[in-house]
Amino acid sequence: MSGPAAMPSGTGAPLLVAEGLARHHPLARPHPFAERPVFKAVDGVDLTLERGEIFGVVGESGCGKSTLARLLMALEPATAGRVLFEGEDLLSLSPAALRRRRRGFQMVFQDPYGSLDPRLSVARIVAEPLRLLADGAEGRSRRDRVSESLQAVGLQASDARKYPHEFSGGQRQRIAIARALITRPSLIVADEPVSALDVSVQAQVLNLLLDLQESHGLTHLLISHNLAVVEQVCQRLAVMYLGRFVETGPTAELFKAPAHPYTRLLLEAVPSPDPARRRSRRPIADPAPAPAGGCPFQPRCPLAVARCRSEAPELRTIAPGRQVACHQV
Amino acid sequence: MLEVRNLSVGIATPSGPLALVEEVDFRLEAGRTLGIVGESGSGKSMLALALMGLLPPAARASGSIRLEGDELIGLPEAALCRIRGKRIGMIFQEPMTALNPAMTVGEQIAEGVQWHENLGRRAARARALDLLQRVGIPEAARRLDDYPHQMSGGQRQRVGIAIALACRPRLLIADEPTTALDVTVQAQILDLLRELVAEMGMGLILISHDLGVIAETADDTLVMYAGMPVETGSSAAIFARPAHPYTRGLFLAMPGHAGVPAGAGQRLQTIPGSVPEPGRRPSGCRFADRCAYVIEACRAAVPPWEPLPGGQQARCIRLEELP
Repeated sequence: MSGPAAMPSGTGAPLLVAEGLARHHPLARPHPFAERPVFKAVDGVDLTLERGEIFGVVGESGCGKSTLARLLMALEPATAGRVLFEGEDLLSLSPAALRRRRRGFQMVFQDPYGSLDPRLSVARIVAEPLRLLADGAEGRSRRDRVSESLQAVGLQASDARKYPHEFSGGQRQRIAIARALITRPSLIVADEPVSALDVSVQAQVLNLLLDLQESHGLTHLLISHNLAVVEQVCQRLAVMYLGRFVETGPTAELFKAPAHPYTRLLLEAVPSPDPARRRSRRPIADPAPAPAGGCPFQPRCPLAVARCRSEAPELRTIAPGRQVACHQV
Repeated sequence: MLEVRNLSVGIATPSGPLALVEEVDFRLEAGRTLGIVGESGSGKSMLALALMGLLPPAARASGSIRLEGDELIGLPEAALCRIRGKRIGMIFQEPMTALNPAMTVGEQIAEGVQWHENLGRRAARARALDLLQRVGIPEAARRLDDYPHQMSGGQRQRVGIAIALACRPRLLIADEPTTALDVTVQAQILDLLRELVAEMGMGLILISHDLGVIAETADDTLVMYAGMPVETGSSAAIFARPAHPYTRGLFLAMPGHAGVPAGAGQRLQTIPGSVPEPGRRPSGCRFADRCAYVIEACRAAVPPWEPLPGGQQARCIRLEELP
């Protein structure tokens, strides 16, 4: 068991820093002389990952959390901003240098059925990053690396000969994690790693993430729509809404006293598995697209005033380690 | 209003019949909500299809399903067609695929009314407008002629609910109605379902893998595991004092549940292994291979229902010895 919400153990330089990260998609003009509208999937995100922590990003579908993950992994070009991994700007690296760098950060995807090639043996799936990285690990040493990875996620070395269809959903997600571990990365970005899994299996995979953090000192960025999952495993958390972080802070504090009206709305909306706590919710406003100016949450916000419609709030610090983007807090 | 007795669903395979759902019994009164909860492979969706009479051709249901006294098992398709949509309304998981992309939402709501009640176009359209307003679509008169792709996921599910309600059914069956939706939209849809059940006095069967959704919405709960119900009772009782080792394990594996140590980094309790497939279920208690309290007798026969205070029941022979 780790200590209560231990602050990130690494004291030195942060593992990853993102500054002003943005990804804009130009849309079709509504008519030939109109200005080209722009969809802001990610719009100015600053993020610091300390070594050894599990950082969560929560938000609903369309908030940009998956795009953010792909930007941090340099899988998609950014419209603006920088991603510094161990101090090196990933977005300015040459393709060859970026490829070598990739061993340091790996990704786990949501769907353990879609993300494993059914025609490849587990050994080939797990070893694939080594081949792509031209690691040089050949023959015996590659087999050792595969067994080491499989054992780290609680599978048997003998599972290497099997094929994905022989495994259940939870075991497949372990295979996907083993594949991410084989390059001995320091960062794993997991995009909804348990949302395709059943409750009892989800618990196994979440425990595995915690074990890996402890035993290998791994840093995780966990993307999820499930607040309870994030509360269970993440030390720090960011709440994302329409491309921006609206609130960040230590998970326990954020859950105890959510500051942003959107965070409060999210927490209120989660159904409680305790019928005694069944409560009458306040009516919830429908999701709305971002308005042209002002705060993106303003059309749904019960607290919105004139200023919210004219001026977009910046993230500002309200307590040590806690930031909120809201004029009314 | 609805009484299900010894309902089983099986399919014929080259190596003999294979049971998918076995020995389901429950009653549902008007104005109440029964939650059916289970993980994938528990048979809950097959059970839903059996209740709707929509089983795939290879599957067969046996036992008894009585809706207001009328037996549904063995009814010919033509007779089922007069009941489905009229006396039983259905809401499906994925509102985009459940709706017809080539018809306006107004036509889709009116379709059932015209078919079942021989209402004219005009009257059916008026009913559709009423329903669209009732399920909370703003500017309903204008949206009546929209196509499904012009609506958001939450609005589409509202349309799905309007279709299910069109003929004022006595029984509503909702199979994972909010699983494809965001939490804030899910909360709206659950609120709407609760209001409608109270207002129209329907019986609602809500099928979900999400314990939170069941706890918030259902008066009574039926827990399914590997094709068989293992525990039943009032939601208040089951969620406060789960009795069956599977139900207990499920609750303790769920982040956010009262019995789970909260706080970042706390390990969750897990149930070892995974739900067995239909052909590989143990012959006695279906949970025996994963149960921490298993003894020899558990594997000998399917455990009978053991009564607990307050009408709660669990299929476990070791209830009294459990810690």
